[in-house]
Amino acid sequence: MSTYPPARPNAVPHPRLGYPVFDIEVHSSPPDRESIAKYLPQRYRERYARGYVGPAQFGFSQRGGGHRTDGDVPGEQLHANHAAPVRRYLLEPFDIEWAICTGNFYFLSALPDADYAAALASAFNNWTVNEFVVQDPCLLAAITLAPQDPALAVREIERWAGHPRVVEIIVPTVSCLPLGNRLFHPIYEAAAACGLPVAAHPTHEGKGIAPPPTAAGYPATYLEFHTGLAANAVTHAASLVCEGVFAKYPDFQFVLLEGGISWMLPLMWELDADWKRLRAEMPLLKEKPSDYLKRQFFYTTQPIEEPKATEDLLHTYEMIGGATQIMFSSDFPHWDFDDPFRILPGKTGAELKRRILRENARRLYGRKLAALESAVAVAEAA
Amino acid sequence: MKTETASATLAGTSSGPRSTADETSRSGALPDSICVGAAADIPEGGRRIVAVGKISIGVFNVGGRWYALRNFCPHWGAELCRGRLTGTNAPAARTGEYNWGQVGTILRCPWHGWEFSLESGRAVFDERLKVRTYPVTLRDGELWIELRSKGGAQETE
Repeated sequence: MSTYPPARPNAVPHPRLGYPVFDIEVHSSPPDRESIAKYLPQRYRERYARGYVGPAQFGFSQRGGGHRTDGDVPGEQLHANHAAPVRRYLLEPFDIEWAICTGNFYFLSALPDADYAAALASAFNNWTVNEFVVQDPCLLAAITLAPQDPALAVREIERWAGHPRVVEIIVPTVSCLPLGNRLFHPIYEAAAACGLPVAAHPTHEGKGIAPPPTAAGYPATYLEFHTGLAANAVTHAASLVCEGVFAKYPDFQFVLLEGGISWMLPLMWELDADWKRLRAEMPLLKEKPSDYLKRQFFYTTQPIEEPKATEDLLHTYEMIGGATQIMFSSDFPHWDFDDPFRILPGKTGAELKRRILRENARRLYGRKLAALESAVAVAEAA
Repeated sequence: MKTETASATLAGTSSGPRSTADETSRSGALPDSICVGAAADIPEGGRRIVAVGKISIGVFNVGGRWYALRNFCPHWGAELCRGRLTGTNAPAARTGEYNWGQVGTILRCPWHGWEFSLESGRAVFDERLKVRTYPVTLRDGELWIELRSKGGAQETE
């Protein structure tokens, strides 16, 4: 790793915000199967390169595909399979300081074969760090896990934790059990011990060995599917609290990507109210549920909720402790993309906006950033 | 779909398009009309995006007609005129009924997919939401955007 090129943030402040933006979600994606296959053990190469990835291609397709189409050729989809389009269509026009590459291998937890899934995770992480993030000094990496075998997942965390550009662990929200289940605790314990937040991202709900995409069954359209993901997020959040993950590991920090925010308010109300009556069933909890959530649960803006009055959104953010917990995510190159300058009021909510667009992420990933930025300072002084 | 690349779409922006501005009567205001270039340079199905002062306008050649719209989505400000030209399903009365139409004259925003009529500039989901449209005129084979009058398409020659 000593030859890994040094990191360097884009220090240019956004001309209208006055500071650069921190983006915690870029969907880096391999340009072809060979990019991943070459990192796999021999026994898996043919299996992956010849097209078998596991679950059938069942899914909720949508008109026009899932990507932004405002590139050079109007109407053609943008891709993050190389750093150049990320720089051109995201980092430069929106003055992004650091961007975390969260990949696109969220199908891993839908695979029935745990060893194969773990091998694919390793291969994908090799590609992410050694072929993608390496291309641009302000890109950072999230390490993707296949959680089916937690011991293998912990080994993957330990393999990457010391890398300077690895700032986070990511797991799919697709799961046969809610994410707070005790089976997964070794993953959270290892990540917390390494100082790495654990993010989770939806996409392949309903595929492979996963349960149906909603607890009410299979919807017909992408819109039902996508809005229904909030119900899954509610279950995961309640599980992380009630199975004591936050209480057992005070350094564990959970980041929900693309899962919405406002549903947390009624969830907090209910959890706190019924915890008073049912707390004996959850003796790991030392505080009321919302106390943990307001400290250790983090949200991302994209896709931002759009009430008629933005004040309603800010009020909700305030009530869930969002001033320290919400972070900007672009979801590049996907279409449900939010311009950081436009999404929140710049005057009445200037301080909140600054925290969401930059400061909260700088604090959450602060340990790794401090090392990276002090290395930049040393290099500049020399 | 035939489209032009960035170098072509941005033609005319560096030196500024020719205009009919009366500099003395309208200090700092937009000119009455601007020339986009030769009509023959924008093929059927093609488009060109031009900068006019601080704003940007897209000109489209679709089905024998010219259209011009503000290149700015009223949602989050994306460059609307880089979106895909497509059709849409009109509202239906029965399950299984689809009324696919307006093929080629629905402009979909490249970010969140909001649909706008190329003809009227109005959003399909709410007619009250409108993107500014401009008449396009042909003078001696040159395309001109009329900045001071409202919407409307122009037959190509």
